[in-house]
Amino acid sequence: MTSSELFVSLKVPDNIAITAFHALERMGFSSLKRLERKDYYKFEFSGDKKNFENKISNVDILVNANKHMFSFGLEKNDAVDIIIQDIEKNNGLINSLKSLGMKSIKKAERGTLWRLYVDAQDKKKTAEQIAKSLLMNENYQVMRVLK
Amino acid sequence: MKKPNIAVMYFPGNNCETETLKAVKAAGMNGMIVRWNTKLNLSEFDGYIIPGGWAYEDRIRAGAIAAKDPVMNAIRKEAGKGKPVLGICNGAQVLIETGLVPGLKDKVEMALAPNINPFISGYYNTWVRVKNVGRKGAFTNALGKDEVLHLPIAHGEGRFVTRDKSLIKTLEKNNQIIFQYCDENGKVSDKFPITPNGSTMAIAAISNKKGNVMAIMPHPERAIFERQVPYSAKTDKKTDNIRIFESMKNYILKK
Repeated sequence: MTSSELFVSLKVPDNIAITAFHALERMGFSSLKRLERKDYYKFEFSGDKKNFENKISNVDILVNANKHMFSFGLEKNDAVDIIIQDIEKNNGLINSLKSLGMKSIKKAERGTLWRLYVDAQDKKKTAEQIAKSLLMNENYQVMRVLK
Repeated sequence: MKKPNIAVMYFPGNNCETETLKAVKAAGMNGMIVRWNTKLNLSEFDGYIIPGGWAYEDRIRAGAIAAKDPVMNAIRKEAGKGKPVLGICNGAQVLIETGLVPGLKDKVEMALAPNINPFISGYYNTWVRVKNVGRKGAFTNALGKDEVLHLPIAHGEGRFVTRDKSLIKTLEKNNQIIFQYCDENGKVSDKFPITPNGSTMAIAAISNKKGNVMAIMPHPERAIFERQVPYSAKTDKKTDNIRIFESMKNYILKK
C-alpha cells in the first residue's frame, strides 16, 4: 500500500486564518507572529504514486486551481506545524472520491494543518498551548505536532 | 409589573435574531437585538439569548470565535449573577465553546461535534421531537415534566460529545440534561432518525448546574406560531414551544 499527504492552501487571503490570528492576539498570545492554514488530506492507495497524485490534484473537489495551491509534503521552515483532526472518521470523503473514479483509494482522512510562527523559547510547547486554546476542541479532535 | 428586557445577541453571521426577538415579544417580554461590539451596558438587561446562524462564519469550528469574543465575558459575568442565558443552535455551540455549559469546570468540557447520520454527511434539516427531562428550571418552568415539543433542527454540528467519561453521569445526577430527542410518544432513543445527529444519550439541550444557562440545538423560535409548523393552520396561535420563552420570563419575574 502506498500513501500520500496532500496540503491545500488558498491563493487569496485566508479569512479563517486571519480571524483566528486576531482572536488569538486578543486572547493574549503575543508570541504568535503569523498563522497560516492548509487543508490536509492523507490517502492510502494501490498503484503508482505519481499517477495517483496527478489524478487526486485534478479531481476538482479538493483543489480548485483558480483559488488553491497544493503540494504533496511540506517545505521546511521555522514554524511549528500542527495537524488537527476529528477523532471519529467518516466515509464521506472516500465515497466521494471513489464516485469520481478514484477507485484505487483504500483509505482517506482529512484535517487542518495550522502553521504557527511563534517567537518563544519553547516554540513547540507554546504552539501546542495556542492550538489547545482555540484551534481545536479536545472533546472531539486530536492534535499532532509535525515539528 | 415591568416586562423583562432581553438582549438578543448578534454576532456577524447570525441569521435567527429577528425570529428570536419575535419569540421574546410573543412571550410577553421586551427585547432588542444587541450587536457584539455594542457600547451598551449589558448588565442593564434581564436576560440574554444567543441566536442561531453562523457566528463569524463558523471559522475554525462552529461557535469557536464568538466564544472568545470580549462580549462573552460580559455575558459570563451576568450569568454568574443568575441571569438567564439561552443559546439556540449556533448560540448553543457558542455556549459550549465558552465552557458556560455545562460549566462544572473552568474549561471547555464538551463539544458540539459534526453530525453522525447514516444518510447525509454534514448539514441536516428536519423536524424532531424533544422531551423535557430536566427539572423545572429557567427555561422549562412553564412546561410539564416529560412534555414533548415538536421543533425544527438545522445544523451540521449538533452532536453533544465529551471525552470525559464521567461527565454524562454527572450531568444526569445534577439534572443538567434538559431535553432529549424522542418519538411522538415521548420514548427517548439515541438512534437515527429520532436523534438526528448521533448526540450522546439523545441529548438535545443541556444547562449549567444552576439551570440558568441552557444550550439547545433545536430551534424553538422557529416554531412559535402555528403557521410556522408543517401541516398546521396558518394562524398566529401560539404553539407549546412558546413556553420555553415564557419560562424565561417567569424565571426573571420570580427572581
